[in-house]
Amino acid sequence: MHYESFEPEDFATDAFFCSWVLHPTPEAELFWLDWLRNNPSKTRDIELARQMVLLASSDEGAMPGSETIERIWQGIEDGKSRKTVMFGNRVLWLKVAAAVILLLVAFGGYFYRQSQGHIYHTAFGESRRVLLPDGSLVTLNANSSLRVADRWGRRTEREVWLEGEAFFSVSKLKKAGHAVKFTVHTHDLNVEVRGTEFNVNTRQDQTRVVLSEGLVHLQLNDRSAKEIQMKPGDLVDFSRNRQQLRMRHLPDASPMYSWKNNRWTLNDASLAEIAVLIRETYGVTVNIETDSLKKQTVNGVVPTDNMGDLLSALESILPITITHEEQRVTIRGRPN
Amino acid sequence: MNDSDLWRSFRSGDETAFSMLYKSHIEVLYRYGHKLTTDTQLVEDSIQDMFIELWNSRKRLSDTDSIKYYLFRVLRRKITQHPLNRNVAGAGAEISAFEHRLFSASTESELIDTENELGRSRALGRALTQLPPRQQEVVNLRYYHEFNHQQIAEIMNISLQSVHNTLQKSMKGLRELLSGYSEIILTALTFLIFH
Repeated sequence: MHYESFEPEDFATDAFFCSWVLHPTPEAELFWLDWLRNNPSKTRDIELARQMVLLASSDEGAMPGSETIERIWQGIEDGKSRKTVMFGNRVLWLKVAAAVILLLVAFGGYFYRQSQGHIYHTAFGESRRVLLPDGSLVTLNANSSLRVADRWGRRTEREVWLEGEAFFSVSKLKKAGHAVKFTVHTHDLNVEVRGTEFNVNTRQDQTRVVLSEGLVHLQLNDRSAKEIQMKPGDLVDFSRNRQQLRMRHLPDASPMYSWKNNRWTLNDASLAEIAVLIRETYGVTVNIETDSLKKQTVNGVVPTDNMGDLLSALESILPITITHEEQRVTIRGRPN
Repeated sequence: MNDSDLWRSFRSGDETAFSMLYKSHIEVLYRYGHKLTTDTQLVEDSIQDMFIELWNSRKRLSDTDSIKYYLFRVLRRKITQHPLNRNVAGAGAEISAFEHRLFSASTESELIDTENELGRSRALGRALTQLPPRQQEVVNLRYYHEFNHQQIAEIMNISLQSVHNTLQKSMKGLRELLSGYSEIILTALTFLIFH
């Protein structure tokens, strides 16, 4: 490089020089400091050029507020669903309209409700992060479904329907000065929040809600329509079918949703309980050879990225041998 | 997820990918839009229309490995070609008029007046806005958004040579503004190198 003949503006428009100023790497640092030692008369020009680049990379322009971001998105959502149908033929247009009306009448509310929204589904052994239009993040556990209302944010409420298990990080959203509610519907209850983090699990014929942060309201789906307010660390189990409600407080709730980071935190978990988790997550059947083995407990953190790793971790903790053939997992005692 | 993957998911109709596309670019697009016009409504409407059109035509779009570059190109065309827009930074004829305003008398006196630290940084912050709009735009695309010359040429629909010349001219302008302060700012670097 013929940097010796460079003027400050030449440095400032040189790609290598700019990347040194804006994103210095050890190599670039070394090169330029070394170059300066050999060309001390250029020190002033280099520093001037550096200041020019720094100044040029500043931007004091307008930033959109979260309201603006939401409003534009809403417009996009509305525009997206309103497909511009341009029928030149008026008769055809009327026919289409008639057909649509017939369909609506025929299926009534059922059709309307079912066609609403977008459904996210995970297979066994798969978890997925879903970003909702309001910026809330949902981590969907294996074999779970999340339905998201179509007209998101249009009404005053944000609504989703869950089957399976998911961890919700709900962002706070305000409209016209009022916090907009976020509701998770399950078979058993509704979880209502403003902005918070919590886990919802609807497996095993009940809904379990564990609150990590903030405040949530539960509305039970039974005749009592009872309302429960939860605080961080609270765990609530409710089964509509069995009419069973249990509540407790956990000093540390994080083990309940460590699955979202691809690990299970096991605190005195019996092998029988773990077998249920394996079945729910990977969709296999699990057989434990003896009853005494079922009562064996495990403490520790095990990886769940794939079932193979999980099974070998269990084998290394307990005196057991695990065999896995197709959709069947068998756990046997190992003499030691 | 990298740009190509995200773009592909979006094109295959993945709503999550589409909302991620929006979320991750709305701020830069909004800021860039305001460099092109002072009309906030026009910026918002153009961004909105752009995303709706993107969604409706997603099946016909081709691959891209820089979504930001793609979106900037489309947004600029939308804003500058909008029939209601009278306030386009890059519209050729207006440039020379702005150029005359560069480093006007008030700028000079401002430089001399600002003896204290606060006044200095304020004057520096405004320095960019004293460049003609077209230069501001090229500088913004190059140094803030970090597009390369080729991308800037395509976004602004000007020649590569023109990008190069405009940058060179802008930097000369900034140099004149800054050279007044060079004594003060030198100390730091000298210390760094020789100690």
